[in-house]
Amino acid sequence: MTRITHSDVPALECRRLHYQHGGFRLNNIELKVPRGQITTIVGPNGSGKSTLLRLLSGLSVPESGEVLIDGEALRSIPRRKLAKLLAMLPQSKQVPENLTVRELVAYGRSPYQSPWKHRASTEDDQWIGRALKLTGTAVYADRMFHTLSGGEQQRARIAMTLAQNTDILLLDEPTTFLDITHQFDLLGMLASINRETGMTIVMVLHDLPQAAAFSHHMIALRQGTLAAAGNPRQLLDTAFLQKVYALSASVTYVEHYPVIIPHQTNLLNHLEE
Amino acid sequence: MNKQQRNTRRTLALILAPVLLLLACLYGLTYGSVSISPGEVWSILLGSRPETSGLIIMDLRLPRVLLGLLVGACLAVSGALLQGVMSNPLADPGIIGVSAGGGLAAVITMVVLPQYSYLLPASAFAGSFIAAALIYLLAWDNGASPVKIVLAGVAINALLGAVMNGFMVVFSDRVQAVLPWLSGGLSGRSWHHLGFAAPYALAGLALSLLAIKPANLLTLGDDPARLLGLRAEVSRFLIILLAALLAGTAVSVAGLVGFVGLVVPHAVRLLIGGDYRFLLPVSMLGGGALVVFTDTAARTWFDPVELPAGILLAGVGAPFFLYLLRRRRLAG
Repeated sequence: MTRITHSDVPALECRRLHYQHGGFRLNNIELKVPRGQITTIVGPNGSGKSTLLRLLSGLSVPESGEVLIDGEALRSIPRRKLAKLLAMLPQSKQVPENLTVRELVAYGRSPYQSPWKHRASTEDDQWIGRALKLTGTAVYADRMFHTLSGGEQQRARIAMTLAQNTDILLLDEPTTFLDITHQFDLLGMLASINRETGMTIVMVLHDLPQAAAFSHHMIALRQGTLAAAGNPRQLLDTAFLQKVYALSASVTYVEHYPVIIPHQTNLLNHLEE
Repeated sequence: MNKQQRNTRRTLALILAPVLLLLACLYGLTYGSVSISPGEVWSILLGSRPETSGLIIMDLRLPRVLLGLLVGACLAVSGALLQGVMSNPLADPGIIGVSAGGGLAAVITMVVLPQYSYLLPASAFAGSFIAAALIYLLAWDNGASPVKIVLAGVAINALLGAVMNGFMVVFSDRVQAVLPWLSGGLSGRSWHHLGFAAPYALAGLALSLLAIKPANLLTLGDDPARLLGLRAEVSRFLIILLAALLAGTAVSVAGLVGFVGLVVPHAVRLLIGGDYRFLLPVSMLGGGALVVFTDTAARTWFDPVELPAGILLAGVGAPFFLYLLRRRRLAG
């Protein structure tokens, strides 16, 4: 499953990336996504997190600069070949009706199938089974997707991307719209997938403590530029919050889990009276 | 509906659709001003040639049934494909102007170049495709929204209708030849029409089977489809091209027959879901059955008047369309 690549070549790399579309722009982004690790992209609303993810996935094309995947220029790779190297869970929740979980997951095998073949091969079935197992969706594989809860649906969607059997997985805000239990559930699942398969995972998250707790590497954007990158536990401090979010707050750790405490606590005073 | 229910329905549909088609064909061959028994029809098809009934079957009813079958299949598949790639359940070649494009091109060909009637399917195809491309471009704004497609389509439909009417006023001396074609139906169609339309229709229907996989992927959304390795824009363009070929072929031989492309795929979708592996073949057979049946009904029910099948189809299709709109409003 692991392809022979030099571990010192980053899984993804951006070189002098410039991009502008509508209100969103990215300026001179220069970054490396370490192989086999979990990287989280954070930043305030409108800082360009999702835009960056789209550029990394090849869904958007930069105006100048380059995205490299395994050291190769992403734009020179045909779509279908790219779909075997990199999978992504987009924010779009669109799933056609009347589909079982297994059938949805089977779509993940499309890059490996010819257009006139509709039956999954034994190899396809193996990867589908593995994806169902890794995401814990095997138990409801034969249920209709639309009858599942939000958390179960998200797992099923992720199972589809895993069936693509790629070394890289991108996720755009995978925890949004999930309740707190399912958020931790999902992040724990991604961590164990990363541990078991060595897959490179890049995700956009809004929750900073979750980002710090569940990733090896963190990339912070501010107004379309790279504000900081590195080990999340070393990055996350008062100066970081001020610089990236213009937030005045301090960071403490409770049982190794980061907690952010805003300095303007007087705002809360009237609640305590 | 759970998986088991859905699979039962799929199996039923896959069995019922061909049965319905056969019954419709039998109806079309046996009924008419002269009733011919199924047994007699069978022996005629096998080669025996009794005087009158043989002529009626071989020269009148059989080509008409075969044409109805092709026209219905083409329209239904065209509608099913358009509904998918324009992500709009109301995209019917007749409603959004794709048929009107083909119709205008066909009228121009018939009126201006009557000696080139064998070019009819090709010119209708070109007209349909230009209309489809125009609608898609007009509705495009960072993705084509379902509402915009219908609005742009209805506008294009009206515009093309106006141009067609204008054309007929200007060339009023030659319109007589076009009128029976315009009303939509298969009255008076024979082997000659089957000969020029069948190659296009069969090629289009065969190609549509190749569209199943991309059409299914596109129902996931453009970005997800791209991420699964599909060149979404190219696929959508090719599928629209194919839908235009199918609609144009149907228009070139049967005129403006509406609602088949809307009613059939939508009813099939309600019954067995939107998976194109099942939706497409069942719609194909169902569309054929519907047109053969309606054409026979239009031909026999109002004897001695022969009603154009298009009128009967609109009579069934329009209420169904309203029902769909209402259902959507209640659901949404």
